[in-house]
Amino acid sequence: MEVFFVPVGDKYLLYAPLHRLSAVLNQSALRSLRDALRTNADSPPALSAIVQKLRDNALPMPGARRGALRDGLPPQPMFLGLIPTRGCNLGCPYCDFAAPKTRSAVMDVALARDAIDAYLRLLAEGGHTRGEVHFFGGEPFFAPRVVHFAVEYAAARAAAAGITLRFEATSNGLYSAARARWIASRFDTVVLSLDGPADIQERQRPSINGQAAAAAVIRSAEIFSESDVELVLRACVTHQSVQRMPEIAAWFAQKFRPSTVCFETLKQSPFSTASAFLPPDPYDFARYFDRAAQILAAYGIQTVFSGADLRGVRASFCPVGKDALIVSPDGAVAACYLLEKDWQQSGLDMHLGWLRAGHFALDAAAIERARGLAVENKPLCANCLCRLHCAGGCHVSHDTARAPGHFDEVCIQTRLITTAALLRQNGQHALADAWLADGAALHATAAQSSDRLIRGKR
Amino acid sequence: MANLVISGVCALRCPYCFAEEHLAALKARAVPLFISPEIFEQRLDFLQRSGIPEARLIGGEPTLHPQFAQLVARAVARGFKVMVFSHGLMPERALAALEALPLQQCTVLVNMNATRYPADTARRDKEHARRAETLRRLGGRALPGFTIYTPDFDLDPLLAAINSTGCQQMIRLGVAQAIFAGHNQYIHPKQYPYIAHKIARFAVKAAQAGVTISFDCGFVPCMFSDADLAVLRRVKADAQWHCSPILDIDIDGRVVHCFPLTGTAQTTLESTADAASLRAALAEQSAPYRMAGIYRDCATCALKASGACAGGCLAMTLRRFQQTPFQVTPPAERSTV
Amino acid sequence: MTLTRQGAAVRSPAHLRWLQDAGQLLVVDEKARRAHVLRGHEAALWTWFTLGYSYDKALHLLAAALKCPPAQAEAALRELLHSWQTLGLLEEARDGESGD
Repeated sequence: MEVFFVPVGDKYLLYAPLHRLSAVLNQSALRSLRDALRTNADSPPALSAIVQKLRDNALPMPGARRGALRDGLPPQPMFLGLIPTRGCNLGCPYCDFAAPKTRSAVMDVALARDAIDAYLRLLAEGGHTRGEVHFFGGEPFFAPRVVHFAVEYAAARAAAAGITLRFEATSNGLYSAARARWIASRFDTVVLSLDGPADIQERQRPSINGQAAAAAVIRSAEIFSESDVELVLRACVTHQSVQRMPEIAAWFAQKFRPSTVCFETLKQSPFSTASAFLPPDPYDFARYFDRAAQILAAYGIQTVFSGADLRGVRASFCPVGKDALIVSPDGAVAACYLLEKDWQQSGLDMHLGWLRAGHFALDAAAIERARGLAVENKPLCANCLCRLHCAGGCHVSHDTARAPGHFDEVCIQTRLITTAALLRQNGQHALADAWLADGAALHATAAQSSDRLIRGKR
Repeated sequence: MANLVISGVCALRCPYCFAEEHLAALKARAVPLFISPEIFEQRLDFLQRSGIPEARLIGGEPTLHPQFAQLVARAVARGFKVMVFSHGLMPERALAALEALPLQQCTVLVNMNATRYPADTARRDKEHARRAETLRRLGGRALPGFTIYTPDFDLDPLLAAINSTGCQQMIRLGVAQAIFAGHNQYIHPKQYPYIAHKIARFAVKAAQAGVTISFDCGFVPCMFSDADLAVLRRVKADAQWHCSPILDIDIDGRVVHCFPLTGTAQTTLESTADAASLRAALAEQSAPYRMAGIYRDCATCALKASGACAGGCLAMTLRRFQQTPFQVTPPAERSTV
Repeated sequence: MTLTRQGAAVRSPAHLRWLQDAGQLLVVDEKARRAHVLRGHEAALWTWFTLGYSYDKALHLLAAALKCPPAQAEAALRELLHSWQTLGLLEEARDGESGD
């Protein structure tokens, strides 16, 4: 039974993600609820609605298999990912993508065409009328010809096949206004990395040749704001910028029109350490995240921390395991867009196969292996209330092989942000404010090793 | 319906102002700042031959016309109902003139969030207090309006103003549209679903207070969820999804579709023209653009095809178009490349 | 058309505006008050030209899209430019002029 609780000051937050239920209870109500669920006995009248809801059918666990493979291929890939190049025109000092610092291969347009054809064939054979093409990098628009070709070609071929395609790109925004306008007119969603106002952006995301880049990126964000494309702003937060999150949020809300703002903490790497960039303190990050979220909410903008995204439940943090097919410039097909050397360092193999002679030649065992990278196989997460949202975080960078409850800094901020968001969803603003201002209370929430209401009942 | 521009001046600085571009164009053409009584008489002639029973007076701020009271009296004397679009901070003589008109012959649409001080809360509060006094004096002649130009808008103070002043129990809601060639603050269509849900929630609260809401042009049904549309029906909101030439007739006789479209479709008021012929001329100019709408999907939308929805504001649609010229130089014919 | 077959430059007239809608590209001729709908590879080519692609670069992309040799794609491209000229979507580019 996926029912959890965490202490919030002298109260308790109850959370059952598969029942879409959360509530704030006192200690005696929590005990009564636990007894009622353990014994199937009658519950006190004040709790009967909650008990009934928890006894009703829950949503299925996420990550149910995506269907048997057909001719060795997934019947419904989450999306087709294209990596036009690993190259990038920014030189972010904290970037752990080593490849952009060197000369990178560019995908041939014929390979992009073959990948699109193979993907559309998969969709058509499965009777699907909708699909998605996502562009990753490096910086995908650093190889503009591939993207210009792939989008126009895919749109034309999909329309002929009666398939509606969505286009999404993850981008750094450093390009001409003309290119930004095309992206704005052609893409459905752009995830734009913008760390904050110009001083933060210049410090954290300068161009590869050391020249100022913020003005061009901000111009791109403005063009996206004025156009049809859904804009998702993604800001990397460091120990230096964490206190400015509310200011960053207000600037985003007043200057741009994002649907969503993602605040992510800096992922420490040899590059970031060498540049004296450190991740923020997880408690600070949670507090400032909450303030930023309230500012953005007044403008109808969602605030997301990827591990605490409450918009749905999931068994895997990312596209891995959901049959996404991500094609590299050399035709390799992987479940993950990160670099092969990074998976290997973590003892993982995300390689699924190759695009050969216009067809996906995939390894069925590799697909099953990726599907197995789900939260139910991550010991650390077994008893955590965030497990169906965070799902253990990045498979490559977050070690989840540890014993349940041995939470690290990633876990702490995820647990606190999730708790704060649930309190606010319940209208418990005063409680949330008091709890966030109380360091000991936050620590008690973060450090609880098992959040399961009924131990052993999963 | 046709709006008569009688004043080219306004002392306020609303961030969303639709008329700024238009007023600048008037200045550039050295058009007089105020309509003369003679030209106003001709405008009334136009309304008469067009069969339009209402003289809708706009600006700038129409009440700033030095002869406002006389113009209004003239319109009423010729049998027209008068509708005035005002920011509500009007000169005493204008307010007194409107106050003296019979209730049935006069409506003053008071824009409740017009301001000279967008960034100064204290001064905006003073404006609000002064505007509430205007509502009180106009009573049932006053219809409160509100232009939504930022997603963090708050409609609650309007209910208090309505309850305490005796004005009409209705709020005319507008969504700020982008001027085609300007830089005003506006709500982008991708923000519509958020504001729509907020409007639906407010509509319930307003209904409980006995207040109904009605929509200005530019709203689209798809901005509301099915549940929110049901709410609007239940509370009997006057929800419309139109965008058609209203006819804004300038002091110098230029006729535009509406202010946000200044700089695009326009025609001139000839001495024999009526509203139908002007509307047809403007509609013909904008017809090719009507194939599109404010969203990419409007072109294939059944509601739009049926005419039930106009596809949103034409000025917003026009801003979606690009105009970057290109040149191609093919080589001389060759057999191989 | 003779113009393109002779290899002279053509350009989009200044009275055209266009937008990308779901599944189609709409080109409005303000002067003629007409709208033209482009789809498929035709829309792709229009877009590539608006992005500043030269004839040869656009030809290369078209050949990749049509999965045919460039010579075969070139015939299609010249035919398309011809039809656009006929429709008024392109006009002869004369030196020293920048559209109407």
